[in-house]
Amino acid sequence: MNNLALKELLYKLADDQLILGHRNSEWTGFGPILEEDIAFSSMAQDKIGQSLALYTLLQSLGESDPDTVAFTRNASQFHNCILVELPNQEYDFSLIRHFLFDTAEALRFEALTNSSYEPLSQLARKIRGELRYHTLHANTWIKQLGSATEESITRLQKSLDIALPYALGIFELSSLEKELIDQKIFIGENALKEKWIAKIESVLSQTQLRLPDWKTVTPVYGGREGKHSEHLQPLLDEMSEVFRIDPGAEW
Amino acid sequence: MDTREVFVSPLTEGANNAYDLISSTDEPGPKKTFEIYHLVKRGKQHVHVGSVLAATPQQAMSEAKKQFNSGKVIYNVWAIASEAIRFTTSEEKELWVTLPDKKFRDASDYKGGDKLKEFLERNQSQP
Amino acid sequence: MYGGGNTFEGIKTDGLALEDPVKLAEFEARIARGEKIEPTDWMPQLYRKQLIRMIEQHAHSEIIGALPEGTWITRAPGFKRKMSLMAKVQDEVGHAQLLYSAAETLGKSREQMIDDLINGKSKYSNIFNYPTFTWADCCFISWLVDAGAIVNQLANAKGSYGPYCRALDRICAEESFHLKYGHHCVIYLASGTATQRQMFQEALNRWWPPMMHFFGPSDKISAHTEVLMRWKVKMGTNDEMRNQFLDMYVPKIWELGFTIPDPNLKKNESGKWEYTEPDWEEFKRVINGDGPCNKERLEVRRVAEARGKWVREALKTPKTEYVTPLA
Repeated sequence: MNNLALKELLYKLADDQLILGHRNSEWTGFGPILEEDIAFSSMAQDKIGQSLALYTLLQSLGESDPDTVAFTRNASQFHNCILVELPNQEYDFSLIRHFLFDTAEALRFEALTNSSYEPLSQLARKIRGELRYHTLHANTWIKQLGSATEESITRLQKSLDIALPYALGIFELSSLEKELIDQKIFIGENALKEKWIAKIESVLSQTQLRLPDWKTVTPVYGGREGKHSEHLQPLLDEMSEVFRIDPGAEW
Repeated sequence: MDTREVFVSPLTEGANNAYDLISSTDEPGPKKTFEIYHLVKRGKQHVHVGSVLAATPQQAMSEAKKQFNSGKVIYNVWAIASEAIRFTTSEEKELWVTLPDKKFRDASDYKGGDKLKEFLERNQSQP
Repeated sequence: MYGGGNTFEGIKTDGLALEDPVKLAEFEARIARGEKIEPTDWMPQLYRKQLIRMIEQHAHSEIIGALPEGTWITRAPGFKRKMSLMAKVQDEVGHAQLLYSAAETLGKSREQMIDDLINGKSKYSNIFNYPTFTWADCCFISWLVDAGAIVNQLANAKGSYGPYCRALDRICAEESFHLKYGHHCVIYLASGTATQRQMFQEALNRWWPPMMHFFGPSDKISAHTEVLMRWKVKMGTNDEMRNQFLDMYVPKIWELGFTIPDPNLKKNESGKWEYTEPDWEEFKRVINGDGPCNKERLEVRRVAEARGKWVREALKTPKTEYVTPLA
């Protein structure tokens, strides 16, 4: 088994969950209705818990402990896609991002339940169950707000248009892609993207939101190899503000 | 499910059993299933205990009294027509399989005793 | 997290003379027997009004109280603290939801209540008008402000209004992990590095005066409300609650080697705590809007409500019918 390819995959998965979990948690106390504060917090807890489980798996492969890995790396050492690090902005953008990203995550972990790397396939079975709630939540809200008032439809459409290039960035290819596929660790980003497009189209067709021709959308890449937007480093600085006072201390 | 579909018994306290306040009724008409829920501890959620066949919610309560009243104190009983409830499908079963590590929601996950003891001992040994 | 009787206002009882004397006597007899009053039962107007006011203030305290701690979720040091704090603050928002539902059973909608919060008509716990400068401030709230709230809430859970009591039973059950979590954090600061100890000592110095204010004005100066005690709306006087808190937590703070910034604090021979009289003028000033964070807290709420308006509008299509909360 190629350890490098596997580790790269695990870092990518873990970093995505951690960073989006962080963004979701920023809705606490600030949601459009209390029920959404609570829902975004639940998803944040799930995602950060999932990242912890994945970093723990990495630790078993010889990487540093989860706290060190999460709280001391710089932006260029993170492998999350750029979509998850973008600021929450208004609720429409957060909701669209949640829908686009979690649809991909649900399909990704579904596929990983068949991974040849047994510890990952076991973990994926648990994570898949949690992600079912996330997609259930996203689909319910997208269907409601995507067909409700003129304002809600216009807002969601605008956010969808902004988010799509970044969403395609989820599927940025790795140079080690072929090894993952050959060793049956993961089905690969291209196969995942196809499933994702079908799912996104099927949900959005039940709303008044419109998808552009995919050929006209230029993906925003870079995140997977550590090239991030200007938004990630400040997020990490904030996350590690207390931890850095004394990384050796027990908090 | 709409909360209007929930038929609620009187609510009791202390050693009073809600079932003691439910009278027996027998009503004619076609029967359907009702799901029965018990409140066994004040402040906790109602828990499903089983289902009964009845023509009306009142009769469902009366049936529940026959079948589920063990004499143990129940503070409140709900009867809900099964048809009013949306059940999860078999393909939704994976919803119940999640990461087990939610211990941080439990007070027992915060054991500071050893740390505290060690701290107190360390302080005592310093004049 | 709720700070109990936090205003000086007395209540007007003259409306009571207009109530049906037979029904009123029956109502009071039920409460005296320890029965709970349920939403559909007869109740005097004053009872309804006072309960709405109290439950509403409690609910507001939960959502505003989520802000000073919530700002530390993104900064919590390490996975363990982060998960706990997220869950804890989420619970507080959940408590608000539960309490708004309890208040709604008395006939005031959540929208009206939140409007009254934003326009300043109804209050929330004064303590949340103070800033959290460091992680240690956040730990102070998680441990000691929650502890104070639990003292109040356990007392109120024995009150007479069914839906409020049930909400409080549930809230108290959830708060048990909050309290443990808060204490755990403070034990780690106490037994940690010199910097960590100093952080908590400074937080304690900042938060002690508002903590003493938390239980409301001293019995000597606050309006006595005999009728609210008889109706089991208020379950203990402000000073009784304050004393109970001091009795339970001062020894625990001292145990950790911290200094409480009040040289007069001691337990006298009769078992009562003596302390320097809190500055009630400051309390009054802060309650009336002139605290360090009043404007900021309400502004956050106002902005959140304004930005969420289109979402709430979009939820009403197709027209949803209002359903009264069950219990």
